[in-house]
Order: sequence, then structure tokens, then C-alpha cells
Amino acid sequence: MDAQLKRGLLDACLLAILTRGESYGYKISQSAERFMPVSESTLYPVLRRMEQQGYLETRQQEHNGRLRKYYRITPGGEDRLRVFRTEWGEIKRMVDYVMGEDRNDDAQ
Amino acid sequence: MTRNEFMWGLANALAGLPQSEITRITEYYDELFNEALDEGKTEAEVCESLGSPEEIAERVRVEMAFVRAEQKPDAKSMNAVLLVIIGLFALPIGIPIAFALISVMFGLAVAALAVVVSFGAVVIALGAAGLGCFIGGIAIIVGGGAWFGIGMIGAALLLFGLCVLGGVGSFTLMRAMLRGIVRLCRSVYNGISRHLKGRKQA
Repeated sequence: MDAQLKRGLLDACLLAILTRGESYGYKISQSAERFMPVSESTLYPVLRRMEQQGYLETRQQEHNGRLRKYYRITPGGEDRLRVFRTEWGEIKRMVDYVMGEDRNDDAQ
Repeated sequence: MTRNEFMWGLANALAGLPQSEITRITEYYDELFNEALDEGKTEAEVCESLGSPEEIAERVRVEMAFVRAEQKPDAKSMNAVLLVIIGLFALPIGIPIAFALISVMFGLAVAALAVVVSFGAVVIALGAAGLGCFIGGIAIIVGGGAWFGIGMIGAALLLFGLCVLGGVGSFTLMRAMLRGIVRLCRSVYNGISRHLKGRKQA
């Protein structure tokens, strides 16, 4: 898959996961595994970048005697997600059209 | 791969990065291992799902470079401004527009100066009139017309008072006009550059 496209997709997936509520590293990777092939889910670099970009914020809380880092979406992150959804609405229409055309050709 | 092998490989591959970043990454994957092992997964399973530490370190560097590139002042927008300025002067229509803007600014400056000068003239006139009345008043008193003389001196004081007031007033006015002109120039500049930025995003 194209690297640029993949970056955008992963960003949006993570934002979509976190918009449902804050989460921590392991749980995020579990949720992401549903969409991405397991071997490709190297989430940390992307999570860190999005934190630096201001789309996420982190806090640490003790859980079962260990410190857990929780990730939460910021208002900036919500805005970013909204932009993704708007743009992808259009992309989805184009993709549907392309997929539809292929099927028609096969039928012939 | 064992957990130790993985974390060692990671630390090696991250060599050269800021210590704060290395600490963050190490804490993240430590936490990941702890949580996964708590759930009953084996070290080998976790390592397999994570991929190679070298690959992770490579991605970390790529993402960091991305953030750094975003934070640099945008070369493209500065070039755009320069191009427009040059373009303005290059176009046949550009020079008149540029001159028009400069003329307007100049006209405003001259008008402001004229106001200041005229205020100054009035203040000086008041002062001179006051002085004249004062001298005249004294002359009249010496000449014998006491009450009239005193009246003249009274008038002189009034004129001096007005002169001082006028002086202070025109000084304040001058400062306010200067500030207004600076603000006007700044808002014109902001308006133009915002318009250019808008065009760049479009």
C-alpha cells in the first residue's frame, strides 16, 4: 500500500479509536488489529507523532501496581478526524464507482 | 525472539536519538509486554506481533523527521510573497497599483503633518498673543491705566493657558495619529499576506 495513503489511514483509524474514549497502548493495538494486518501495527511512532502534532494528549495513571500511559484525543484531533471524514466521503464515492465499473465489465 | 532480545535490539537501533525519546519508547514497549504477558500471551507471540526492532526504530525516525519538517517556517509561503511582490512590479498593472498604495500612504502622512503644523501654528499664535497682551498690559499700567492694564494681563494669562492646553492636546493628537498610521500599515500588510496564504492553500 502507498506509504502516504497508509499514514493517513492509520492516523484516521487511531483518531477514530480514541474519539470513542481514552485508551492505553496495549488496548489501542488490540483495537487497531481489527483493521490492520497484525504485522503492520507498529503504532508507537504514529501515536508519538500525533501527540507532537497536538492531536492527542497523554497522562499516566497507576493500574495494578504499574504505571499505564493513557492516550486521549484533543479538540485538535477531533477537528482532524472531521477533516478526514469529509475528504473520505468523496474518496469513498470514487472508490465505489471504480469497484462498481469493474464488476460490470466482469459481467460482460 | 525473547523480550530482552527485542528491547536490546530496540535500544541499539534507537542510538543517536534524544534520551527523552528513547525513554518514552522503552516505557511504551515495556508496558506493552507487561500487559500482553498479563493476558497470558508469550514473549514470542508479542515479539512476532511487533515486528523487528530495527523496523520500529526506522519508523520512529521517519515520523520524527516528519514533525521536524512541519515545524520549519514554510519556504513555500515566503516564496509566494516574494513572487507576488516581484510580480506586482513586473506586471504593467502592478507598478501603478504599487505607486497608488505608496501615494495613499504618503498623502496620509502629509495630511497628518499638516494637521500637526496647523495645530502648532495655533499654539504659537496663542503664545505670541498672550505675550503681546502681557507686555501691553504692563505698558498700560505703567502709563496709568491700572484697571485696563490688569485686564490685559488677565487676557494674557488666559491666552497662555489656552496655549499650554493646545500644546498638550496637539502632542497627544500627534501621538494618536502616529499610532493610527502604524496600525493602518500593519493591517494592510496582514490583509495582503493573509490573502496570499489563502490563495496558496487553494
